[in-house]
Amino acid sequence: MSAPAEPFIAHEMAADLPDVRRARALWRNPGVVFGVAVLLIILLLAIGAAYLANVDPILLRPRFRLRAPSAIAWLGTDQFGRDVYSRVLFGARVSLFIGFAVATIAVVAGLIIGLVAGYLRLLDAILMRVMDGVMAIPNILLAIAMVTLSGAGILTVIVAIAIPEIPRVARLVRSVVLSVREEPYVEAAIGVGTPVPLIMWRHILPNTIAPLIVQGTYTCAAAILTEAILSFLGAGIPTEIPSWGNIMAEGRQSFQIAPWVILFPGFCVALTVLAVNVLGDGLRDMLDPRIARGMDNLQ
Amino acid sequence: MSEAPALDIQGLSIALPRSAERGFAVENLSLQVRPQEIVCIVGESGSGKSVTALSIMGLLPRALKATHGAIDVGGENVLTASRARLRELRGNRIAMIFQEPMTALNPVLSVGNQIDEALQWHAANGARAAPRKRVLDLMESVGLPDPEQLTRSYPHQLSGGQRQRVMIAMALANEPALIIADEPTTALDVTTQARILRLLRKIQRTHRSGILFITHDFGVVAEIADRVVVMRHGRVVEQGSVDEVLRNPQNTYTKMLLEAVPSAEPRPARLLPKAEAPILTTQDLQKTFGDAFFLRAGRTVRALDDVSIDVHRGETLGIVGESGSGKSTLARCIARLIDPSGGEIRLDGEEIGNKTQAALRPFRRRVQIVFQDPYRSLNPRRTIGQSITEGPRNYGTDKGAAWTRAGALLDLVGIEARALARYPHEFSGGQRQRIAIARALAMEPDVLIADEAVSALDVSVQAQVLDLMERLRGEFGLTILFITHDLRVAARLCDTVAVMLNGRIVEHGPAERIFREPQHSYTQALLAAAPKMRHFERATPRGSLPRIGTV
Repeated sequence: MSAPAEPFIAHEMAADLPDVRRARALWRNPGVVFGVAVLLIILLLAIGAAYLANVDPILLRPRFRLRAPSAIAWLGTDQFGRDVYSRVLFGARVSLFIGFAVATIAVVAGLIIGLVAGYLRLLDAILMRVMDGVMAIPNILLAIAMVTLSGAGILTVIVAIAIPEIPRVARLVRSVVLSVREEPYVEAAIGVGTPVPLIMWRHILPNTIAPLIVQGTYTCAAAILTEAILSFLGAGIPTEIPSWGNIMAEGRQSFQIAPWVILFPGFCVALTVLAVNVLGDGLRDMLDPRIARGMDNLQ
Repeated sequence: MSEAPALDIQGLSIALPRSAERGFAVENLSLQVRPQEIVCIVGESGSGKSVTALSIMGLLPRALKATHGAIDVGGENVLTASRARLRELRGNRIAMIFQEPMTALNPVLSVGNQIDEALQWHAANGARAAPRKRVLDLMESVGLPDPEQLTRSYPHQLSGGQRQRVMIAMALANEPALIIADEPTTALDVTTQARILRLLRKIQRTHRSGILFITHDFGVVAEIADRVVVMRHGRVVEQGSVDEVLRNPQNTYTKMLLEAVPSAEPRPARLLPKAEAPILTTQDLQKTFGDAFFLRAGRTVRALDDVSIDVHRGETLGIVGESGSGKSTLARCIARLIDPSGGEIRLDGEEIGNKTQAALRPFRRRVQIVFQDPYRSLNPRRTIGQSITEGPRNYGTDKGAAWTRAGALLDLVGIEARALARYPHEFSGGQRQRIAIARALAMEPDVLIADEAVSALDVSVQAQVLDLMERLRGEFGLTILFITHDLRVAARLCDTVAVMLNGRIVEHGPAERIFREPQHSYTQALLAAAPKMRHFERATPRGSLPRIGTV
């Protein structure tokens, strides 16, 4: 920084700093570094699945049923003789895709609904009552109902998981909008004749980014788990598309004699969800001004 | 004089963390407070006065460390006391009264319980004979009405002044040797402030406690202090009896601070161009806040009750009132940030009170507002250049021209034009307020509304911003609506003054008349309550104003 015009003021808060400097501070948080590193590795494995997998993940080999991990089948085989290692790699694609897709849909839809509800008081009561209604439906039940009605498939599962997540994001965004729209700088913008869409874009939206990133990571982790639960219950992705959830679901019957079928995809789910959650915690610590306010308020 | 002091600070230094711009929050501070004495520490923000108070309570934030000196309270060094011992000392020998009584009281405990708790913690078991009676006595002694009833009340049911009285009762609970009052009246209205100051003086006579009173306001010092300690950047620049310091300040900084205190002397009437029709009028303006829902009538509050004002071109109208008087609501209605419930607002004869937001657009630029809090009125994510040019860009000025003009305006308000690319956090409060003024001027407004625009600033900075506004209104022929709770500030700038109470204007007229011959009893009470330098008039009053009748 070039020399500022005035001496540094001791009670400046991290929240007041421009975003660039806060972004730099992010990389000093161990949670963020760990989460990003683990997710990157899993993402690379998923992208490279076609090259890294040594056997077709849906190839049935009845002669090799329920083999323990060995040099031939690194993570063993399941009850149909399919290679667990290949299936876990390809399953990573589905699980990560579902996680990101659900998070994206929930964040985008929730953002729009939250912005509208927070800024236009007329629509607020209606939109938020609808959101309350959606929130009242247990998400697993809703997903099972949707899958039953429209048939199992990745798209159905994504939509079914995303819908119950939307109200959470909408409420978060709305609360941010409600507090920010009272800020004098927003009133000042109204005062200088800035049109409403521009006020939303320039002055309000940037304030929602940090909490949204945090909420998005949690939604992503929850979606990966929910997909696994749905598949485990038999209401998820069809078994010809391997996902961590349905690999475990199929391994269920032979768990006592072939625990590896459940163990490895389970480990992947746990590691991924842990990484996403730790990343989310790290982001929250760094981006949420109430927590990030590191310095004591000196008079 | 021979008595042991209630507080004896010797050579206290408190180090700041290495990243700070100076090495010490407090450097080599020595002061004494004797029993029954009120010592005022005066200073602007960053002077180290609050850090001093916290160190006496043993409440310094972890980042700060007392490196030298001793703080002796009743024969015991606080700095070396154990945590357990400190806890005993607090409330027992040292008590503190905070600035904001709402946050210092626990919202979920009744007032009686909180005072009782202060007693319980520290009085030895035997001494707790009749705690209930003691609570009532305490409440009585701080002038709380109907103590029986009030013990069951919760903090939010009390007024600000009553809450501060409860805090004082809690501080007195154990007859401490020392009471530290950290800006105890800053958050209160002037009339309430006057009553609390009177109460503290009474307590000083009837109790043995010494009081260390921290303030930024020399008016308050003149009202209450026995001795004064002036601090700046963590150092004592001057200390002495209140007479010595206020009558005959030695240090240039003290002199500057005293100079900057606005006196309640109205400025001599300016020659205003003979006015045609007023530029801004409101007629029976009303604003009702309420929680009415569908057809059910809820509780409503009349924030504005038939307010009618006229402002002529070039005039500065001061709107003065205490919190809740409706002065800010009036400002926000006129700026059309909120919709009035009734009546009309005319700008140059054209009704703008019931226009839709779209139809308002052409008028927006003619009325601009400067807000109270300089830390929140600029978007922290946008450079000040972006903030200043936002308005003109909205009205189609091209980018280059808007930025050139923004540079010129910054220059005009006393900030280098190349600072346009900086972010708000790089500026001090006073500078930010200048930037906010530049943003308003960029719209080339006819009417500038200053809503408590200097209230959050230190007195020396306040004086500079007031000077700036005075200069600009001459240069731009601005009409200013100056909203303030501080009569002294209004006196400094305004041609005419309207006094508001409970949503109504109770008195309206030329500043000279309002200040010299207030008609309404409320105006008289406000004027009487404003802390002034009273017996400490300087040898040459500001600008040697001619008295009415002598010219």
